[in-house]
Amino acid sequence: MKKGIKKLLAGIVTLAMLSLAAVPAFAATTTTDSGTGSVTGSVTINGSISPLTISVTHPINVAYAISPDTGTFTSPDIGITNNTKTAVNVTVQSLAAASGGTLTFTDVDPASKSWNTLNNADSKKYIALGVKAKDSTGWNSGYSTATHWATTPSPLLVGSLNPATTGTLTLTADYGLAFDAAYTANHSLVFLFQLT
Amino acid sequence: MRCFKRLCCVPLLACFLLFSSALPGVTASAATTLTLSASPNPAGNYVALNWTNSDKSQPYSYMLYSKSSHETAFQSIPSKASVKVLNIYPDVTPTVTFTTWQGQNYTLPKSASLKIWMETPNQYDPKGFGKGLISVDPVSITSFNASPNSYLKNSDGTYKYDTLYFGAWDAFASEDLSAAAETVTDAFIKTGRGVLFGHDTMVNNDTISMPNFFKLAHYCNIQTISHYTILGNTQIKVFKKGLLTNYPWQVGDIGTVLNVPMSHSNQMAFGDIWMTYQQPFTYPNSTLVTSGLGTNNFYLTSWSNAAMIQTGHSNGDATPDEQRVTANTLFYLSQITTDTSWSDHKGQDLDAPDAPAISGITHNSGRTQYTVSYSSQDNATGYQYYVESTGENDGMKYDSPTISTSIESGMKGYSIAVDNNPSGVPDGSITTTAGSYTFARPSGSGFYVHIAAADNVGNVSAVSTYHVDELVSVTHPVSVGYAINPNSAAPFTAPDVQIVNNSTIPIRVSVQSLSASAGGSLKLNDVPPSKYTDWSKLTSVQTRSNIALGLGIRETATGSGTWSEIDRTAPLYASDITDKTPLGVLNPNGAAGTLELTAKYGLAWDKAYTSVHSLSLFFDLTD
Repeated sequence: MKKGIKKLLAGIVTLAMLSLAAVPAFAATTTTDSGTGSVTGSVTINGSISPLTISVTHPINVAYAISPDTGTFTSPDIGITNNTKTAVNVTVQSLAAASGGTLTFTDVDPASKSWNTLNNADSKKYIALGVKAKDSTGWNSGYSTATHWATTPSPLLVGSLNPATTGTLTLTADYGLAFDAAYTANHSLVFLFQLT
Repeated sequence: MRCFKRLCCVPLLACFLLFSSALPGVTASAATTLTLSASPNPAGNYVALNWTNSDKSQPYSYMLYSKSSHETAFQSIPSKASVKVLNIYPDVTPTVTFTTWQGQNYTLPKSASLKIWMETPNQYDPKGFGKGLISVDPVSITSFNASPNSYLKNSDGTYKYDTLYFGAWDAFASEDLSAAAETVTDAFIKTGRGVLFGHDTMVNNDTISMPNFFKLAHYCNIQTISHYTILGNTQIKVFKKGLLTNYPWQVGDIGTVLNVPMSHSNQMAFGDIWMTYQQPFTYPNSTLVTSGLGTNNFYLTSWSNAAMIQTGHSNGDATPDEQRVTANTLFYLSQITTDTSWSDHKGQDLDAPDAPAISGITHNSGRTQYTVSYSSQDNATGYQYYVESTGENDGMKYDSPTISTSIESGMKGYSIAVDNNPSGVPDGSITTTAGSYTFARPSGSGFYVHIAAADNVGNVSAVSTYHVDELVSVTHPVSVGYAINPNSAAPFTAPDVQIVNNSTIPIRVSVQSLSASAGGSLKLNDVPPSKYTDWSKLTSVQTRSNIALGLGIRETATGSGTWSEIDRTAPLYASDITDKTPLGVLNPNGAAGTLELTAKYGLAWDKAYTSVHSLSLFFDLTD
């Protein structure tokens, strides 16, 4: 039985959307400097700088499936495309089980269970769900190959994406097999996109 | 013998006239050849004249005629170094007692004061205003009227005197010439000898009438005003410049005001007027009359060898100015000589040098010393001469051909004044003889250099003035604002920085400094534009740290209303500026130039910021 997981992908963007559009300031008052032979004139140059808008495209939900009969876990790739003018860092801020399905899992460390021997009750209770970069494609050098497990307390900086570049994340999981019916379960995945 | 000579001369004279009609006053004889030569003496400021007469059959007297390049007609000129004057004075009661410079004592009627003026020592000359050149014999009009020739001539019939002076008393004490004296005086004038008529002699109107005197008025080119019409003052003004105004006394250039006792005119002068009465006329009921070229506004007028002066109205009083003028006039009128050479002191360099051409002005690096360069050249005064001979036996007159010469005293130097007055005039003293002059800069934003050239005899040119204007006046914005909107296709926008040159001179525009300063939410570092190959890839930290802000001239071509010179075509970045860096030169009188800001910057702005730069511009003169 396949279990669905609802993912919430949230781009936390520093949107200081000040309405400071590119409005050129005009020269204000003038002054006349006079003197004999030479004279110095001072001009103050005031800069007004607007924040850059971070724009990232990503799926708003993905679904994974657990097939206990074949013992397989399948999920689609999570593509993240950076539309910003500059590179942005992609951080997994959090991944946590959420209500809304027929089951609400308890996230545990993958090493904390003997997953093939879990009984029905524990199979419906525990899961170790993680997310990581699928491969190096799109990511700038230095990207992380680590997996951010739902139980990991701190965010994981996956890597940075250049403008107009797509990087791919993928889900991974450890789970029990003793499901007695079809269930659905939700997780919430939160990203943080920042300027590099 | 003389008759034979005259008969022979007739056909020859007729022939000569056919080919010599251009000569002035031609009455020449083929047998009498007068030749005249002239040699200018610039150092002495006179023209040396020498003439020869081929006729040795009788003695001759001579009269010289001259016309300068400033005159339209020939006039006779002085030809003697010393002067003998017969002063015919009116009979009056007051007397004066005096001692001449030669130690002789006299008591004479006050109307005979000419001898005092000319021969008694004074504070101006130990030999009197005659300077030892003029001697005076007095005789009363009563005595002269009775037997004029006995006073005028020697026993051999030759004349004793060069010049007669009739004066001086108010109304000439109402004593006219006798008919005999008038005839004798007329003959005297016709010989070319001089006569100076004093106040109220040449008058013939409804109130005062001197008919015999007035018969001689035409020699002075004077005409009557039928109704008593007077005009006068105690100040006179030099109206004409020449020998009469500067020999043997310098009485002043044209416009010089002289003080005299009160006097007035009572007739019209059509000849040369040397001095006029200064306006406003203070003599009661003064009335100015003009008629054609004539006027009654004259104190002293002359025509050939006759003149009239208004001395006498104040009954023998005369100021030093008046006595100098009288001495000069007596000298001027003494025009008959038996010599055959003469140094013509009337033949002077009267023409000033050209107004200096000022070629430019330079200064030292600190602008404390300036050097002006200029040039000028003296101008010569041209003269034409001829000599008229008179046979003392037969009275026949012969003229020499007219000759031309010129006299140029040469440049003496330059009189220079430096001040803040656009109408300033140098004081005439020689500042330098060089063609350039260095001086300390006066205070103020500008100054004027006034230069006049002077020749060696004191003729001063018109003044040339050079204005040095160093007032720098420039209008520019107090502040400008740029904006970086990283989300825009053209993230950097900034208004133009317009600079207007209000000065009357070109102004160089330079950047003294351009640097980030405190006052915004972010103080950026000024880095070279080459610091990053691709500013769009800057991280947020780099973006918030660095900027390459610069400026340059927007205009790409020079023009009359904008830049006259563009020194930089590429932007000047803040990090490049280590010293004052010229951008270009703005034309004067309101020309405007535009500076545009440019920048290299990152895009990774995580929030809104403000940042401040300070731009210091420097405006100075171009030379």
